[in-house]
Amino acid sequence: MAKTHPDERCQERVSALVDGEGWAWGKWVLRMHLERCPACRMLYERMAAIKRVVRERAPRPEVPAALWEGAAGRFGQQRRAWVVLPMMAVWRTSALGIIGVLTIFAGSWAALWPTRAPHSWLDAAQAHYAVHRTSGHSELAQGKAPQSMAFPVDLSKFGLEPASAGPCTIGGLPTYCYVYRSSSEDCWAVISRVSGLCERVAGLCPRCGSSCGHLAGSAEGVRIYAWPGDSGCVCLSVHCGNKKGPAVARAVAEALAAKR
Amino acid sequence: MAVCVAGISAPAWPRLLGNRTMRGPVRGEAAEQRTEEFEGLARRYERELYATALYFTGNPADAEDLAQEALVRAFASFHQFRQGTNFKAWLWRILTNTYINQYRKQSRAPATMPLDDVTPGAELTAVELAAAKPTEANYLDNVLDEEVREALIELREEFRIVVILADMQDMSYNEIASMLSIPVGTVRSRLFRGRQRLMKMLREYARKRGLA
Repeated sequence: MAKTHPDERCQERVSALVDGEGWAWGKWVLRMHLERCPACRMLYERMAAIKRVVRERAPRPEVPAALWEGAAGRFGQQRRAWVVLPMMAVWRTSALGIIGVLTIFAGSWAALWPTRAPHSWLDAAQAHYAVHRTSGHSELAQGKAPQSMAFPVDLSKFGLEPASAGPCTIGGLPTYCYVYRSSSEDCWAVISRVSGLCERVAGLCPRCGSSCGHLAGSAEGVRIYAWPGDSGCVCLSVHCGNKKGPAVARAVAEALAAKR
Repeated sequence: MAVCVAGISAPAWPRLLGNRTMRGPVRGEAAEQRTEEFEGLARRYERELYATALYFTGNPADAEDLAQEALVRAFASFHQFRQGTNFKAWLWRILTNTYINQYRKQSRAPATMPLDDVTPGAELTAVELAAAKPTEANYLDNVLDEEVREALIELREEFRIVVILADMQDMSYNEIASMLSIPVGTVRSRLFRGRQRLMKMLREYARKRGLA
């Protein structure tokens, strides 16, 4: 034991004592040991001496001016980044905000004005109607709101509210359509009076001819039904998975019959 | 009026959070103030910082680059510095990390021998210690500053970094261990061995000059 003392572990502890490292109790025990052990005391003194030499004698050269000059330039770049990055963040946030507002606006437009053109064929009908105006719609030709603009049938008991009206084409005939919208589900009804449609439809309906309301055709997924009306034929199209279609069709027929 | 949140008054919050004043990116006058604040703190340690960089890298050109890079990195992340904590330890951590991650690869590749490969007899034996005269270490009093510089630079890197941080910069073993991501026991071991080698080198210089 005496030959190996102080071993490497012990030497490291003595070295650490120079730095004041270690547990209080361990340091106290080591100091007591140093008083009795010349080898460890010598080691302690050497370690303390070398620490003192490094701390006090290691040259600290003057800082070259270029160090701070170069650093100052790069600080400037960093400061510009501090300015630019928040501004980019502001612009980015603003752009996202604008996009969000536009999206909401577009969504609202689609939700609030869906009846403007519920189906593309209505748009096409408008153009067609401009050329082929039929009798009974002279007011429209004069740029006035025609009498027929008034919704002819009350469908509120079916949850269908008047939405919009406009020129359209049904069965190749230009006419004027009334669009109802379901308040409870995504359901649309379009009705119209079309002169000469019943004759055409009769040819398309082998079962009941023109005497009953029947499917007259379809356009853009919208089923179109036709009934005899007070001025020729009434056309009704319903598009809501056809669940409400028959009920609405009956309601229209009843309402028109009562009106008649 | 102090606003109470869950029974804790508002002035107590900074204390509970450990006075953490994290500051985000700023602009305009605030950027000026932050720059001045950073420079005021950093200039206190500029000489020690440059000296540490010089002993890390071993040559003035690399030292200047390293110190400048450390300053720039510290400035860029100055908003993360917690006021009231040890700025020097924070700055030296950045310096050490920069050196380890960047400059060590570029600069002269130090011999990285595992500690187990240390030449037998490098440590002072019990016989040597017993035979040593108490006055033998007096040659250290006459050692030249330049010799200390040379000996430090010649020291193997793993020892040199620890010796510089502990003996030149008076950093604790815990701080060094944290900076280098090594156990405290390794710091203690490397420091002891580094000091031994340094002492031998200085004794050799003194012997050449006829002092030891």
